[in-house]
Amino acid sequence: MEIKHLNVSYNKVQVLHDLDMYVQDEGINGLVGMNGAGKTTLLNAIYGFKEKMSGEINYKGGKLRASQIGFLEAENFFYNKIKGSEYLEIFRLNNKDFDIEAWNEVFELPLDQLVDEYSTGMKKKLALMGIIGLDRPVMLLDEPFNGVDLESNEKIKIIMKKLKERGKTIIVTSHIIETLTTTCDRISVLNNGKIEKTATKLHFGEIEEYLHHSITVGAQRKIDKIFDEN
Amino acid sequence: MKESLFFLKLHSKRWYRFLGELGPFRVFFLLVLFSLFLRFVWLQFVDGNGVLGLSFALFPFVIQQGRKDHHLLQLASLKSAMVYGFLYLVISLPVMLMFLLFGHYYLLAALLAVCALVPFMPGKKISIDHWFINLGNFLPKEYFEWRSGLRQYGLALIVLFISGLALSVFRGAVPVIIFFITLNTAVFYLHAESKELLTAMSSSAKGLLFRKIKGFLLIFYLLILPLVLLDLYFHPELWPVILYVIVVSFFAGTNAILFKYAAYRQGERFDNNIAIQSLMTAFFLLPVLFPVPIVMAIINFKKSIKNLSLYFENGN
Repeated sequence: MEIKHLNVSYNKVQVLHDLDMYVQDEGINGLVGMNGAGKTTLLNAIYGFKEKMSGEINYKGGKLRASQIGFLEAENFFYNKIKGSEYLEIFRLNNKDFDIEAWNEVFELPLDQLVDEYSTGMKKKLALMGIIGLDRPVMLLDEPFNGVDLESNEKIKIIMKKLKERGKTIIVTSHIIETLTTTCDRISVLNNGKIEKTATKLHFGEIEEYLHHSITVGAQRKIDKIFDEN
Repeated sequence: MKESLFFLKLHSKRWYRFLGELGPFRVFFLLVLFSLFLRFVWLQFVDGNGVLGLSFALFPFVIQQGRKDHHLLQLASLKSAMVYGFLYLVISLPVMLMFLLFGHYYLLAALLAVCALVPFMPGKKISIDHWFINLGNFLPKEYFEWRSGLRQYGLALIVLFISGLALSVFRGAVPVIIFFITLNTAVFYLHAESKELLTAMSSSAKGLLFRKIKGFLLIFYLLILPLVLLDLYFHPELWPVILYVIVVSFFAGTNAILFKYAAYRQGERFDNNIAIQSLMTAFFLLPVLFPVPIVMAIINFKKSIKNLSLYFENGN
């Protein structure tokens, strides 16, 4: 997948600036950046949510279409007053191979309960199961590790690796670099609406060092200053 | 009394905001249409037709089922039955005056009784948690709007249905009940589902819309079938009326679905659709306005296709 000269504006403010990004097909592509760096905007643009955008997003020789994408958003929507099982059954309409019972042995959700009664983490897991049920070749996962417990975090990492083996192209965002270095084939750093640095598995150390210098050292200096002055 | 007036003011402000969102031109248009509708109601009263009185008695009942302010009243330590009763009396006042003016004293008494008793009906919370959680389990899972709707408005639907069965011996009762069942079920389509549910059901926008409309009509007509058959049995000469009602419910249901998808954004609730759907259905009572819901259905079908195209064909 290739993203070329992507410009996206939101409320007259340009969020992505002439962004170029290479995404490894059938691989896990991490996207890391601070709050407001443009990670969610980039995923929304890839899906086609942003109206004011220009540029190209190509996948396997053609324009990428929303119908090729499963998009797990940071905020999850379902339908009010439906049970978890009812939500997942819809995905079986066009994907008879989607084994809800087997997947729920992994996530252990109370599928007979109304989704409205689920916690944030449970909703995230249910939404992820839905995305898996959609069975699209491209998967966009916006902060999938947020709000889920440690055990589920590990399960999600294993699932991502298995999906990659099945030929899925995955783009995953996270604030926490460690969650990405253990799963991704490629990591890009997004800052101020541009890809500042990209590294493949062998060079993840460079990314960690870069983030350490650009974020941690800077923050350390500011915090030290406050404590030293008081 | 002071608390009741406060809540009346609160509701008036909500309506004021709703009308503000519609804009002056649309408000004027709706007022003209509503005046025509009221004139029709008035003429019915002049003709001595009491069936419409019965339909007005159902309004507080339907409103009570949809209430979400029980908790707010509890927090404010207010007696909800008194506040609601007062609100229903105010809403029904014009109809009560009509009853009084035309000498329908028994209907006036019935409406007063409804206003006094309906506030004691259990709130939505009880119906969801305890009674209606499994009400829609017999329906195929793809009709999730109905499963969800039955959990929320199941009580109202059951009471309407039983009332229809019980009152079917009276001329015109079944069409009025079907009118209310139509409004009650159109409400099932107020909530916008996730984009995943949307795309999991069909591979095209057109396919999705046809599937939704087909599903609605199938369940709806199965639901009202016993009422229709009873009405035809007791009043076979009124078959054109029941046929007319079936056509009206077709467009009411279709419009509810199309209105939603014309403005679809995942997770949103289109509460304003309730008011619009009520008016749309009322238009069918006036021959001159009969085409409005049909034209709206066509316009909204095109709008829905355009709006949903993003989810089925990427605009990148």
